Amino acid sequence: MNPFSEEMNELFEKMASGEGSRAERTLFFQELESNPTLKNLYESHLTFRKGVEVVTRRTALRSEISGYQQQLKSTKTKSTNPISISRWAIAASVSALITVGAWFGYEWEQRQKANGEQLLARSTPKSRHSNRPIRTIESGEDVVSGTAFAVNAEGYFLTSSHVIGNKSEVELENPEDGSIYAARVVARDTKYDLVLVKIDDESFTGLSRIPYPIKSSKVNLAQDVFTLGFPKEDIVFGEGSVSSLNGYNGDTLKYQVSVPVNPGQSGSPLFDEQGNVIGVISAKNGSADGVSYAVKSSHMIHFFENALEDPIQLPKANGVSGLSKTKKIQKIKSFIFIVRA
Amino acid sequence: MSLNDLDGLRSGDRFITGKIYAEHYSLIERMIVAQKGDSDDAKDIYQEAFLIFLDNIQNPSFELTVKISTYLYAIAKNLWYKRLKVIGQQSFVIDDRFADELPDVTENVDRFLEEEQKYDDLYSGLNQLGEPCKSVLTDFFFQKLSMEAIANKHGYTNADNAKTQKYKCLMRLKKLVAVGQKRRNG
Repeated sequence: MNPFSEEMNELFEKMASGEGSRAERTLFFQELESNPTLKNLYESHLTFRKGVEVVTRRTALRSEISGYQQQLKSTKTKSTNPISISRWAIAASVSALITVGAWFGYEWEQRQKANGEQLLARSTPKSRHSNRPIRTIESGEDVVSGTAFAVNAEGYFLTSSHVIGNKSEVELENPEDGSIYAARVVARDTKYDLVLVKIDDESFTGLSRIPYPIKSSKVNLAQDVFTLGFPKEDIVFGEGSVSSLNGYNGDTLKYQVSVPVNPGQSGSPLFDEQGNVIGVISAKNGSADGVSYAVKSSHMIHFFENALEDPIQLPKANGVSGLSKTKKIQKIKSFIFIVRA
Repeated sequence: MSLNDLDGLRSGDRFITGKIYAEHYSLIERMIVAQKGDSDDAKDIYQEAFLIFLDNIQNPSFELTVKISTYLYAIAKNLWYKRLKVIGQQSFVIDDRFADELPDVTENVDRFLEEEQKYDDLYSGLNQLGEPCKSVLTDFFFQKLSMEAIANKHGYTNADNAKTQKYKCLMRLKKLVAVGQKRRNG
């Protein structure tokens, strides 16, 4: 038998991370006491594991820090210490690990100035519904608007975190009937540029079944995609294809798509041909036309898994895949709202 | 230093970490340039000091007893003095405005540097491992992602497949480390 099989590795991992039932753990540690070979194996596994933890952490942090340094001033780094040179070089080569380019929060404004990646929130002096009280927004401030789409019929919507900034309350408008709802931020992750908001309003009675599942499987280069969003007060359809599997500067959190987008479309869902959600529009390239960036759906799923205290049910079944394009969009668009913060 | 900043650093929030990185750079640069260094040295030392700082702060048992700037300054100064010693230069102090309040970080820095030496084989093993192993192991051991999330991120069909992949990566890494050790021991 393999002295270090996958089963044994899993068992060791389970014990090392404190998992398993009490009975299981008692049994394991008793066995360890009576079996010196096993004990040796386990202890050397723990040492190895600790090392892997330290080395992966430091390599990832180096890569992250290289990113901050690059943003600070793009200059070459020379070193007088050979060990330090090699480790920082490794960090630079694995920057995809902790995508340096994904760290756009801090440099948003600079990037916009540099015409690299432009975020797509839209500033309007105030809501067009000036005759209505805007519940969540203080008057006098500029209103930023974006697009939000339903991910749970009880009133959960996903949009880009940069649209909302650090606000905790926003408003959502259903453009089909003009109704406006107050909503609060439930979870936010600036790394993924995602935020989940929930309608918190007595007048909201829920949605019908959401017809688009969030797809986690692989997206292919050149695959056809489309999006629906609000660069103006009316919904706008845009289509194109996946033009690169990574975003701006090798940002592995995003795809590059050849869909024309404009301010106000941040947070728009990106669909594949069947009408599955495969991303969230987040930014466009300021110096090239038709180059837009969407956060990958795998990261959306990761966001839902990690950012929420209580998990929510995500749409599972595709209710539009058999329909024609126009019918699909007719059906999907009822679930896409305008978000203002 | 606000509580929010520390929380952000601990949880690995890029926005806050990047902001703090940018905030303290010039302080360290001034110190190093005033002491026989140039701005490349400053960058070097600051990156290393910031790494030690992040490495420490993400350890739950570590308690920061001084301001972030003071702590970074102490680490950077320790590293820089070590570097000066290696190249046979005497250190001297100009305008050492934190002199009275600097915490003793010797143990901190030395432990970090010792570990760096100790894990030399692991570093080169991880580097030789290539993708996707490097990312899978990082996602698991550093990011602490679930196998489910790792499966999603790397396009494995399910968590079990991701688990098998992780196991294979670990075994390959073990082998690479053993080869490295053997080579060094003769």
